[in-house]
Amino acid sequence: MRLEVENLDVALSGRQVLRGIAMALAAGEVVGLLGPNGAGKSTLMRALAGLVAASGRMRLDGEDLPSLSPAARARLLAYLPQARIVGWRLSVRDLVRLGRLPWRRFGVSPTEADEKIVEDALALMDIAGLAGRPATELSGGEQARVLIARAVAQATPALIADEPASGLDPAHQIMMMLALRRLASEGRTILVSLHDLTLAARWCDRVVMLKEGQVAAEGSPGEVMTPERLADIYGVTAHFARDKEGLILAPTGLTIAR
Amino acid sequence: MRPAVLNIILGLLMLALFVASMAVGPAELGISESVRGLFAGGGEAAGIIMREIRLPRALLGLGIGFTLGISGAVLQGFLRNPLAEPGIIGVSAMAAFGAVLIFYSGLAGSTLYALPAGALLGAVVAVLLLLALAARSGSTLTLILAGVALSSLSAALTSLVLNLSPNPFASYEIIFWLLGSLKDRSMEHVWLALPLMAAGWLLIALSGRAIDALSLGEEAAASLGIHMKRTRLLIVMGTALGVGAATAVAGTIGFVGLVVPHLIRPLTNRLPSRLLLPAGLGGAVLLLAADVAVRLVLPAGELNVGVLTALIGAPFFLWLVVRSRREVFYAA
Repeated sequence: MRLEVENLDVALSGRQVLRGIAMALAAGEVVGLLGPNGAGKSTLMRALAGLVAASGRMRLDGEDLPSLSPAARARLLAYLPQARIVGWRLSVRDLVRLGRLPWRRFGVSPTEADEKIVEDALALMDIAGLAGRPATELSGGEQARVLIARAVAQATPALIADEPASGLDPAHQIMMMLALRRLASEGRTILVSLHDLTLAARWCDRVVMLKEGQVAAEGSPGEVMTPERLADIYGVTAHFARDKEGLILAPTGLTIAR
Repeated sequence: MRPAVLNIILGLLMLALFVASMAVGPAELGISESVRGLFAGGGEAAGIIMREIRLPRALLGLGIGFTLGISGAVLQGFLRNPLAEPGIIGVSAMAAFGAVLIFYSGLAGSTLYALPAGALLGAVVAVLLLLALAARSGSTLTLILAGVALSSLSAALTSLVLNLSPNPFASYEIIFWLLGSLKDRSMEHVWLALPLMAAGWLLIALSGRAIDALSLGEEAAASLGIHMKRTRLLIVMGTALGVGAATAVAGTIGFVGLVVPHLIRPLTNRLPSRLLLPAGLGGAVLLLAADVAVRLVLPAGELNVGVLTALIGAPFFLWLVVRSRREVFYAA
């Protein structure tokens, strides 16, 4: 499904946080949302999830997102917040199963189809072996994978993940990006915010770069992640290389002494 | 344990204690005499004792225990906080203060509904204040502090009313009522409180999905299609109706809502919605047992059940704070 944002403005307690945001995401692509701290990445994601008031257009396959009921929206778009909250000692499987809530009627227990989706989400995130463990007793990286598995189990056409790779070891960071790519290859639309420029350059089909609440650049990593732009947006210098998979980017220092 | 098995066991325990509650009292009635008295009708002493003294007491024990248990469970789920409980967060104290005001104003004598109305209003005000003060930040500390502040405020206002009360007899009446008891209640009290409490149970049950989703925090819950404003309203009204009605007929009975969800939670898969029914049943079991115990310990019947639950509950609370700091931290 196609996720379109036009002319989106968000003000939080009187302060304009996002201004005139426009972007379009096609089905099957992983789009990275980049920008320094405070650029408005999380606010943009929260606006898409309907958690903050926004003016402007947000449409998913022509459906106007703000006009949908919370339940209908939850069947179209899954959102993974940045804060990793696990209340109670729920087992990993019970926690991931919460992703099926928008699809279940009141008082009806999960169907076999629900359970299959839950098991697939566990397998995709490589946590099937932890399914019976209490989610509160896992390492931070394991918890991150459990929580994104919950959003995956929501089985929505669009998935929005705020910093899903932060705090993961390199292998699991790459695994996270591969899992997102696999979800995209099944036809989902993925928007993922990232601080790690190396990951973004390597694994995103396209990136949208925010600066002070506005879109500063948009395009494939190779096109838009240039030395000038990284200096402008992040104030960093970087080493660039290429291999047959694409761009290799490693930040090396600051452009100005801070 | 499978949820059905747990509920059946707790249900049977509750029935057994209900029967025990019907069988205990200063009048020494035999079993056949009791049963005949309960069902036969007529004006014999046994019939009056069973139908007008013991039956309302047992019914209120069951209903109020269920209300306190389920209210504690839903508040803990909603606030993602294992220390939430109508007593600790000040709801019972405000309900009691509302009732005390009615006592003081002299309205209590005018109609049977004045006292419950005062208690209900107190409970609603308390829950609204708590939501305004603590629910947004969602932190354990804020909630407990807000509850402490609210309880202190209610206690101070109650003291003020006692201080100003026109005669010592009125003060004594208020104090005794505050201690919490199921003694000498009539079927009128039952008909008054039970429908309100049942309405509260229903509202609480409707929030089951929402409190499950809230295990992941408010933002994730909202993104799962949970209507947060509606959920807040359901839980506020549900607890206020139930606890207000319970306090109105029995005074303050503390700690049942704290202790029971804790004892039951490890027997469930810990999904907040799965805890509601067993916590209600467990609350009924605990309060009926405590009410039987106060009659057995002091057969003259002067020990108030609210005093006993506080004596058991307060040390339990302390132990909980020490032991579960980790779980509280996670929940915060």
